[in-house]
Amino acid sequence: MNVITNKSKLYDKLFGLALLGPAVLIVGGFVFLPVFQSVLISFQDFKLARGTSSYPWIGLDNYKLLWEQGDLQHAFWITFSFMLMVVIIILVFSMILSLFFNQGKSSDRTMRSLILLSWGTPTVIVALLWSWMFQAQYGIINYVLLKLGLISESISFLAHPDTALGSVAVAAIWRQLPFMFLMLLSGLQGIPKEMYEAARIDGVNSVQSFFYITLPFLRNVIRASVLISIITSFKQFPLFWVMTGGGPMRSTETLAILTYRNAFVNMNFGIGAAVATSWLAALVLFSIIYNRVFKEASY
Amino acid sequence: MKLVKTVSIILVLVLIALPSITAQGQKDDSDTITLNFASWSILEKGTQGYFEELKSDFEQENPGIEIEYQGYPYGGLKTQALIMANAGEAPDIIQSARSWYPSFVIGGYVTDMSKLMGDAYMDDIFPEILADMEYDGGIYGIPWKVCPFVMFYNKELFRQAGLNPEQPPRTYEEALEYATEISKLRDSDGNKVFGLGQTTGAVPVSGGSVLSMMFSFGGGLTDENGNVDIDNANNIAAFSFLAELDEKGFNPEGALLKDLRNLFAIGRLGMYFDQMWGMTGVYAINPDIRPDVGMSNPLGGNGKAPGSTLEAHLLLVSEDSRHKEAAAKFIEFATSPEQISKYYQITPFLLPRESQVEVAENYSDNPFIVPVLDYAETINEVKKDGDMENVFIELTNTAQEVTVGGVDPAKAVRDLEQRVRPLLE
Amino acid sequence: MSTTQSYKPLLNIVSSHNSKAIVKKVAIRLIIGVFLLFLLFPIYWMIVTSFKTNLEIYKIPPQWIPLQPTLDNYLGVFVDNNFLIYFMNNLYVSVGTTILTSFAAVFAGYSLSRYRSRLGNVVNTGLLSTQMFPVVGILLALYMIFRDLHLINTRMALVISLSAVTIPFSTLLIKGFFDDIPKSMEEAAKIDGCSRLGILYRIVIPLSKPGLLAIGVFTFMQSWNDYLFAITLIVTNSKRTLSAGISLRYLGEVSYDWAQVATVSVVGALPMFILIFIFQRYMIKGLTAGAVKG
Repeated sequence: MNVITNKSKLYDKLFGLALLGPAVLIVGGFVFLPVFQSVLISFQDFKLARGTSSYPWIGLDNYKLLWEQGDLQHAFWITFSFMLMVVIIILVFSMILSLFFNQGKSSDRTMRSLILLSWGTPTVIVALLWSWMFQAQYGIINYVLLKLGLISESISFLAHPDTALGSVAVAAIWRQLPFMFLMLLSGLQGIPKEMYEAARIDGVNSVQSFFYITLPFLRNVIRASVLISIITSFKQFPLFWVMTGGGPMRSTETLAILTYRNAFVNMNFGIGAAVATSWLAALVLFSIIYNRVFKEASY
Repeated sequence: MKLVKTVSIILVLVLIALPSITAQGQKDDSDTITLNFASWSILEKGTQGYFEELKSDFEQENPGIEIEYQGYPYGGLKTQALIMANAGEAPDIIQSARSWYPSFVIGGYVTDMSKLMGDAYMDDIFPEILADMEYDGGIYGIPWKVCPFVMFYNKELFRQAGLNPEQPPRTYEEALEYATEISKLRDSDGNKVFGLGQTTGAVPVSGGSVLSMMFSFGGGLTDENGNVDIDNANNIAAFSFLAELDEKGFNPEGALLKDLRNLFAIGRLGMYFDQMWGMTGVYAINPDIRPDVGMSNPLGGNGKAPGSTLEAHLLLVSEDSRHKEAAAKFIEFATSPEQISKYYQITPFLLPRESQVEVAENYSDNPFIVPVLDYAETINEVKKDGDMENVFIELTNTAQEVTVGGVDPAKAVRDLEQRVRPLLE
Repeated sequence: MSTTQSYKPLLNIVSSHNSKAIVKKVAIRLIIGVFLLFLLFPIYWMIVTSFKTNLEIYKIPPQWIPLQPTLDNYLGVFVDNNFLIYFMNNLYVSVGTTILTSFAAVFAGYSLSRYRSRLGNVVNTGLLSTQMFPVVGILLALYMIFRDLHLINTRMALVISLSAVTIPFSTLLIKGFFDDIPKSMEEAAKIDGCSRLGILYRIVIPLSKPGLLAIGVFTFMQSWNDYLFAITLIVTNSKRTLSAGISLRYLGEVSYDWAQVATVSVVGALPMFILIFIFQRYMIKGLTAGAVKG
């Protein structure tokens, strides 16, 4: 009997490991290995040219160059402000929307699907669509703003350093909002209705019940979905690449753009990898702090 | 469970069925050579038809060689071609713009054409054009069509503004006066009409256009001895002019050339600077505008003679191509007087070879050619080594600084020199 | 309005009939209306633009409703062979990725849920951390790996790299579902002589149907949306996918063709819209069970 259970336990173990196999292989080989290589490349003078196969090690020179030119700090700052803008607005808007749509009428199902459409629109198409609407001379947004008297002259939203980042953020909000909405709605539906019932009987008003019942219950959902939004915003590439390409005057040059431009436009993989590595390090650090702060806050 | 099953079955069926559908286009015939030609013109409405014809004409005359177009947009072709070359899938022939041609040459991706094409062919190319293509003793690109930056204007808007449509401005200062009049107009729907368009979008070709403007004000990137010299009064004058254009609202902000072409096509732009073949795009949007288009040579500014970069479409052959001879054959065919004459009919451009000029109809008396016949005098040399593509981007950056950024031109030019110096040296 | 639904938080603030409540109600409806306008108008505008001619779309004041809708743009898109190529390639890549990801994620998720081990914990953390890795950053190394494998310019390269970025999320999501299934059922099956794989196939998978659909839909959407991998790993037109194809083919240099861009956008987004309408319920359920907990 003992032999059998031991054997069975061993098989269990092997079976468990085997099941992990495909995922570990694919993710390991095509995410972790490239990350590792990226880090190595960032310490090399790695300019792609025909017939070159060895690239000298140059230590921190790539990082130094990026730092001295100020490109890295600038890109961090742009990425960070973009992220902050997008995440805060998305959180507030989708909270309001999800509270409204949590009223549980089945006729809302179509409405909910309609809300999700913008999330289903491929990002490149989102970029084109909003560039088209933001267009200075025949864009619909300028037309409406002029008609409403909110502006006196049409604005080149994507060509102005003051408005370009915000305009891309609008497109990003448009695409990402439904995801947060979906997450919050799922969270709201998990709250037992009796809680509100009981609170109502105790004479708690709805603002209070939002702060004392809804928010605490949603804590985990908010934490997870905000983190996802933050990471998505940090990684955002197609919107910037198609809408502004990093301009005007580098006012939308995010870390993703800086990486891509150095690696695939200038074919300098060393610099590109250095940007990517600093960025990765920052994100890892950030999410550790984020998770710690929000975990501690709960007790 | 039913739903999951149905979905899985559909997915698997799609996966099995699809390769057979999409694989149809691939042929495998070992006797024929297939030349991959990376081009952006094949994607443009205005030139697509000509390119299809060029392919069939060539294949008819050269059995055993097939042309396969690989279309990339103008702005993405260089990156895509370099990605391909580095993956060992270099296209045999690459269409290149003058502004990013050095990137291929410096990386060693393209082959010396002077050896490939032979002396007779090379001697036929006008020497001033050849000189502009030369790099380190070799010629790595065959000029296909060339031109300086010119000014196009809308004769109908000139008439409406009370200006003489047969007398376009000769200097930037005059152009500003014209623009003032044109800017007072409104189109039929009451929309604003722009006076004078100068591209400032963050792409290399816009940088070439900005540099041409600097040349026209007597400035540029280097002095007579080839030393970097940017922070000077002439360049400041050029950027001050640009700032004034923006301040008065005559120039659409941050516009790419295609934005200007769009506006010009729909009658909302009076004058603008472009390459000669830019009209192809204008006509693609609004063919009816053809009779109203006028062209003049580059303007002078600040009392200086007009200047421009030499803009060109080049044909390059990859160093890794296994069919260099066939590629050369195709290039010879595409640039033959007969083929060029056809291409030239779509929108006029300057012909880079003597034999082409002899054959082309309607050349030296063409109103779109006459103003630039003495182009050799306007062309200013541009450094070929160094990181020219990024220099061009920096130029557009400075153009944006003095316009949408509100930076003082003197300061902007000083910063420009600082940023560009390491790229040029 | 229904007074019985008094659990409605915040929005149904007070259900008495005083004027303050009505003002509040109207204000809330107004805010929601503005949100909906923001979310839905761009899609309307994209569809309307696709039915206009190229000169009409530049008209200001704009035509809110096309006066003479034209189908030319749609005909143009379908006559031109390229769009079909991009669409089919995208379908192929997305389907391939969905299948590969689903298998890998179900296996790994099940293992992490039931066969806990020290290695499993490491894998769990590893998968979580990949969510932070910037795709642009790994792209250059990925490009070189595929170059060495001679897989540049193959759809296989896209399927593999997309799976690599979708597997982590899917695994963690489906693991959440598995965690909710009581172990007793599996133990009963085990005693009945069911093999380990048999338990997974006969007991666990049927019970986590919504989770399976959720990871399938999410993976499909993410693959359909891919742009970065496609512009780097695919170099010829015949293998290009939708987003890359649209940005590389329909955005000419000499001129824009916005009407055509709008048309390919509508057709390119349509499969996603259909997916959302069919599977919306599962997506919410999927997130409730999986992502939210993890």
